[in-house]
Amino acid sequence: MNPIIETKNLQKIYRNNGVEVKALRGIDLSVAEAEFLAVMGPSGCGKSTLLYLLGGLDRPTEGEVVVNQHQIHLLNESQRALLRRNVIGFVFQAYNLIPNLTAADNIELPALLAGRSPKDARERQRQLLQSLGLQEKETLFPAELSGGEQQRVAIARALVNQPKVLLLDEPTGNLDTRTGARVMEILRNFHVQGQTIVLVTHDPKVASNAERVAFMRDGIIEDETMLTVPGNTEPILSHIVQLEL
Amino acid sequence: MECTQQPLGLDFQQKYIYTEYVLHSEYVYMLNFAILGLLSQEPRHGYDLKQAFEALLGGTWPLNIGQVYTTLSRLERDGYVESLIVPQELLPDRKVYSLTQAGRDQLSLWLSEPTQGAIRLKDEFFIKLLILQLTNSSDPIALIRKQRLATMQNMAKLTNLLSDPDLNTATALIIEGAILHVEADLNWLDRCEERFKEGIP
Repeated sequence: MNPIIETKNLQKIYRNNGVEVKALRGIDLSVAEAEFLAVMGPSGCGKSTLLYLLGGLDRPTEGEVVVNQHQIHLLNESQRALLRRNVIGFVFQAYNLIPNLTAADNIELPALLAGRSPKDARERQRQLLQSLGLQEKETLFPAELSGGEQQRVAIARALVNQPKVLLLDEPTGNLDTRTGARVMEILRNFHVQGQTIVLVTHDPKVASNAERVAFMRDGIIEDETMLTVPGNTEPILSHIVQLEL
Repeated sequence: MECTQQPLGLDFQQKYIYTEYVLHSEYVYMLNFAILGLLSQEPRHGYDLKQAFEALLGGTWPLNIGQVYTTLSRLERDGYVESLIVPQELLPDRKVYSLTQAGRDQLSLWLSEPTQGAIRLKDEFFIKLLILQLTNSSDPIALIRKQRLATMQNMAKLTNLLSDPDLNTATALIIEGAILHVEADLNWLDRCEERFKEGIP
């Protein structure tokens, strides 16, 4: 299958007062359509930088990044903005919702900007809020929502234009364990429905929801492994006997 | 702990069997009290105990019926349980076990005290690392990285299990505990990698 994301020798060098920091030192990465990849590594390993380059939020110093056949490294700022609107969904650790828009409006805005009709945008927003269990929250503002609810709205916003790839930067970083697990469950469900997902995290519990994990260190991918063999759902436990506590 | 390699010699075998014995005796110890606890609810026969135990543990610990009878006869010998033969129509007689006062006392003593925390100082992977370093046969860092991938795969298996929406609370808690232990193993592998890169004297 053709990769939906491919990078070749991807490099990013930041220059601060004449000091060079090599954030990425040559990443060759390939993500298949409908795959769920987690990129794991300690803070400062370059994983967020990688995600920003995949999402067209920044430009590489060297190398190529191709998403859905768009050569992002060759695009200018406005072309990349268009790509981010139509092809890529982005979810950040701090939700980044617009504070003076309701949950519903936060979700509908990118759909309207992409040229969808208000009716279409509303319908899509309703479907997403429903599938995320937030149908009663549509008129609330971000400040009136819990962290977990805000992140679910942010996921809905990222998915409203049916992006080819969903990119997430530490999506559970600000959430408690339970709420974080709920958010991961939602991502698993979207993945089962065929959504391509790339997630970066330092947390192995979060990464363990993916199909494949790549370990980053000092700007390169050191190792990677499949976590689940496609089609193999064999559990560790031979049988589960249920008893309510 | 599983060992798939051929035994290396008598010393090795003795140590290996000893390790198994220690682990086995811990299980026997826990099983004693679980059985006393289940009998404190109501008198039960062997197969009933096996089923009740497995249900209690959410299927994370399958028991073999032989283990149940061995445990029951030891508890009976020591005076913690007693048995009554109950004749059944068309079926063989059934032995029904119940708790004695001594058994009840043992159980409430056990229930009132914290368990001895399992402090794990002997780790097969760590011994492997040290021996590797000693024999200079290959790169310890490469082994640490392989171990990290294998550990991450275990984490994913547990996460998959935990995502079952029909999981009961007891099973979910056991699995969450296992996940946190695996997370600690991953942190420790990071430490091993750092220290081995610095070079262990």
